[in-house]
Amino acid sequence: MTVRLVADGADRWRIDATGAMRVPGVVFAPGSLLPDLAEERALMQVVNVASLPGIVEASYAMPDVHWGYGFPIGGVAATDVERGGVVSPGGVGFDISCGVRLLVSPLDADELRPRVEDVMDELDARVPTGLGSGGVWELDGEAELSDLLAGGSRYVVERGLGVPSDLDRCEDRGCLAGAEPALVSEHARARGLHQVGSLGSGNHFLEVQWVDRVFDETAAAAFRLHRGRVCVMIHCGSRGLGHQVCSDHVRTMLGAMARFGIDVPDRQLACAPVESPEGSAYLGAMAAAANYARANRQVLTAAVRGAFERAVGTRHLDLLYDVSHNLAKLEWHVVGEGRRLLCVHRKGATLALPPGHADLPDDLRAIGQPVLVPGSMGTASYVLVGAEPGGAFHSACHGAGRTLSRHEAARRVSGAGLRRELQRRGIAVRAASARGLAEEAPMAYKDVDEVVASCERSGLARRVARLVPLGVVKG
Amino acid sequence: MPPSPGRGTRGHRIGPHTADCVIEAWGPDRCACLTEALRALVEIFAEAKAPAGEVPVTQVPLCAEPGPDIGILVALLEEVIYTTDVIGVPVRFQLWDADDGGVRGFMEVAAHSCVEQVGPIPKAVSYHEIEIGPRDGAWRCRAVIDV
Repeated sequence: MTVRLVADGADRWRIDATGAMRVPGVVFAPGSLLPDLAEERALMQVVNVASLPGIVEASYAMPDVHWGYGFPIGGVAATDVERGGVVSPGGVGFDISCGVRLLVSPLDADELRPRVEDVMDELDARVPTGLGSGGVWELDGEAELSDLLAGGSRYVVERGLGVPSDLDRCEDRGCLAGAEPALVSEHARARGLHQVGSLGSGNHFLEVQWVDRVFDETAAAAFRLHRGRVCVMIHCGSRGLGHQVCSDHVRTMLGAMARFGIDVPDRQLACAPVESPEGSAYLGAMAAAANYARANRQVLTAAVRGAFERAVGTRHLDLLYDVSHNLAKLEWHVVGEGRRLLCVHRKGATLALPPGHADLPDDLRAIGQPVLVPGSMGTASYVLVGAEPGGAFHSACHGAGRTLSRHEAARRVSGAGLRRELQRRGIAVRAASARGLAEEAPMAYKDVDEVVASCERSGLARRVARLVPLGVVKG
Repeated sequence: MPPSPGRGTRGHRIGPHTADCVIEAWGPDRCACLTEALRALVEIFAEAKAPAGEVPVTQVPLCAEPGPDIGILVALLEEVIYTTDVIGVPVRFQLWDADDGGVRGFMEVAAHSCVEQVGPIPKAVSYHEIEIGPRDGAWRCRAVIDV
């Protein structure tokens, strides 16, 4: 099947509803990225998602969309809970509540540069990465794991790893409501028990960055970002526990769909009504896994503060924001003429609340939510801010978006060569594996500058600041 | 389904998927095909630091209950992923058909410290475009692995 895109506004393309589609598809992308998109199977996945029961408005794709499984990565879909709307674990992704947090240091790049190797050595020693590395925090056992799954970052801060003001700057104040630790399987718990405070592998990273460009002085000042400011970006998720929760519930829903009369074009789109036992069980376990991810990033924050204190004598790294880009949330939105309770799936898409939104912390309400967009390793990352009216249920992009497979990237680039190239550009690298490094080569990704500019043109979010790396810790 | 495997009656390969990895495997019967799939899964991320026989291992049982072949493939792959997270890295596999239609066997598992990480660690098995079955005189399978 050929997917036909119809121009529908600035960086906005429509796929008219045909066949089993219940709503149209809407792709936010610059024209320059469309030739790539047209060849990708990501668009077919946008079409498939449009067939989910209860979906409203459109099956959306962000400018960084790429081929996933079931849902595209960079996909947003909302279903009407009271009208048979479904929740799909594949619409969240395996790495539940994978996300990003940004810490703002009191240092400028010129101050840090002479000591950056010391900082990187400390981070490398304190931040577990890769195979069998364990986590920063050894839990007491099952009971403490349950507390962490229920409390997320809040539990970690209560245990002394962090300060209460950290929670003011976390989505959901660091704890997603509705978590049901008892619904997390034994396998998932075993995988999570020893990984709290670890980066993992794949595309996850921790970067020491500095602000090289400011786009919006007012928002940047509110976020305490000015040119030269050193920040630390942490990108990771719920580790093995979250992946197991997704696997467990996809299997359950595959077995239950016939009972609900649901048929999906891709098994990874397995789903169940939000208001069914299966849907409810998934959301409870998913919230627990989301809290694990938030706790994981909070524990790593403590490790980063310790590393900076040891290497450069300051632990005052303030949290700008922590936001997920793989999650399903129950949210109220205006659809047509009324407010409806929706289950909003964001898979590789970031919540982007506009100025004035009630869920924002008091000191950011006039500005809007920081939207954190990690770029490809060694290039640039961005801080955006949610815009009014926004689009796609207040969503924006989550990264650069891959164009080359891991396989192809590793074929074209050597890990050792990439490490030398990054070092030549003044970027210190600490990596668990050379191949893992090569697979994340910048050439494997779209141009993040182009992706975020498209977000701005299409009104999803506005650019605030661009950050570039001084050092990378790679899982 | 994977294209014709070429020479040899059994084997595996790791193919491209934008964000993750695709494993493809083939063999003369179901268990050979499944065994190759498990080897491919480990090949994504690990290499033994010493020749076979010199790395201490422990035996861990493998079991897939009777059911559709896709379910058996997913169950075995997930068991290797779970073992990698919790115990160590499986380096050798032995599988056989059980009388009840399921698959039984064991894997030899090396400590994490005995294995070199050479790529991203698999975290889950996707049902997207997953396939297994007999074709052209061999069993073949394909699965997208989240890393």
